[in-house]
Amino acid sequence: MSTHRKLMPLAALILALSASNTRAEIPPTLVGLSYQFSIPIGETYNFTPPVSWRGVGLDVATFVRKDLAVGLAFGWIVFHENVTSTVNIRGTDISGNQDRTLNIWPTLANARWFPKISSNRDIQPYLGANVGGYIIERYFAVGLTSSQETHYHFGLAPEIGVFIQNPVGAVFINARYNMAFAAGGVPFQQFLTFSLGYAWER
Amino acid sequence: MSRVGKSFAPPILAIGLLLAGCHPTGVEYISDLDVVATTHDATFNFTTPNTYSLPNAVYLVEGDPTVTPPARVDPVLEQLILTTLKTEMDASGYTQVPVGQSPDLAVDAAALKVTNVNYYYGYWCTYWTYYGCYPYYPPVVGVSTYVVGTLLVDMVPFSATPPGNQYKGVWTAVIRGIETGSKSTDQQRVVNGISQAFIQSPYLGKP
Repeated sequence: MSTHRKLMPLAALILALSASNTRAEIPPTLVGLSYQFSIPIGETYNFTPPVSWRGVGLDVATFVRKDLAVGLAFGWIVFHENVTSTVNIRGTDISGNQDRTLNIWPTLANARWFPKISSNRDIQPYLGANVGGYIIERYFAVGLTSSQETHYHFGLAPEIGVFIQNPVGAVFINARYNMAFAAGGVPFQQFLTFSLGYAWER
Repeated sequence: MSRVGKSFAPPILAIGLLLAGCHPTGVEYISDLDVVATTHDATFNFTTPNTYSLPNAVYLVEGDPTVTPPARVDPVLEQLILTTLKTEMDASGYTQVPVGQSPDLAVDAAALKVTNVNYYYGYWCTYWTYYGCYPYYPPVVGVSTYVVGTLLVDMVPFSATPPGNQYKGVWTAVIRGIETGSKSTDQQRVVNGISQAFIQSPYLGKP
């Protein structure tokens, strides 16, 4: 009995230490800022063909498992085209200098899976899935006449990327295929976004 | 936020916002605001007519519409409009006939001159909405004006006895940007505008 009494505190200590070890292995909440550029596809390309070099992203993620993080992704992407051409609008052919702009604000919730591909966790690839909405402001001007409409589009975005960790944070690179479904007469929008950013522990 | 985060966040955010935040605009020159719009009756067969007529004058619609006779555009510009229309119609395969004869198509042209005035008052607003907004003292008023000149060209199938005494147009061109204040510039833009109206209407003309 006395042996049992002696072992009880020892067992409790071991349990406590192992518990704290387990907590320490759960990675922290991360905040990431990124520069983004995007390639338009489909209807987005038809409206504004040039690659967008204007983009910024904010990511917040927390690990719910060692290999799984959930989070939120926000951003601001600007597609723009200035072109002189002829367009047909409701049966009328209109020629002139056109100013076309898409301001896109993704508001997405996501999950990211970090498969263990080697013992070296410093370079950690991941697969992600985003779901949520895209606020899209579509601006079109020809001559002195312009129209602007803003709609909220339901959207999905698969994502692939890699975290390159250092002792105080991580550089991350990812590619996200954005699909914003048609809304308010604005057709299905697609674009591929590449991000280069830095994430740090919050 | 970690020290590293504090170091990296501002430049990344600044670069991103600089790139994303500027709302691009493409208007650099007044000619960027020129527009040519055309519309037509899709049921009308433009290969059927053979002849057309042109008016002798291009009237200017501005100011008081009850004033008679209505003003006409600058004589040089007027002649240029009519000459360019003739060139384009001839190139499309139609043959001009004098006004007194009965053409298959009657082409008409008129110009609109509209002066737009924008103004605004400056206001300051209190933080507490209860007290609302008041004009600045001394008052701050901004005014801007601009003139828009538009050439309208219509094409109608001619009939000596049109039903209801009305002609139904089958082709209309709106050419905006012919009142820049510079005669030479306006003349060039009229020629370009009329030519563009025919270029973007490939259904016009004889095969």
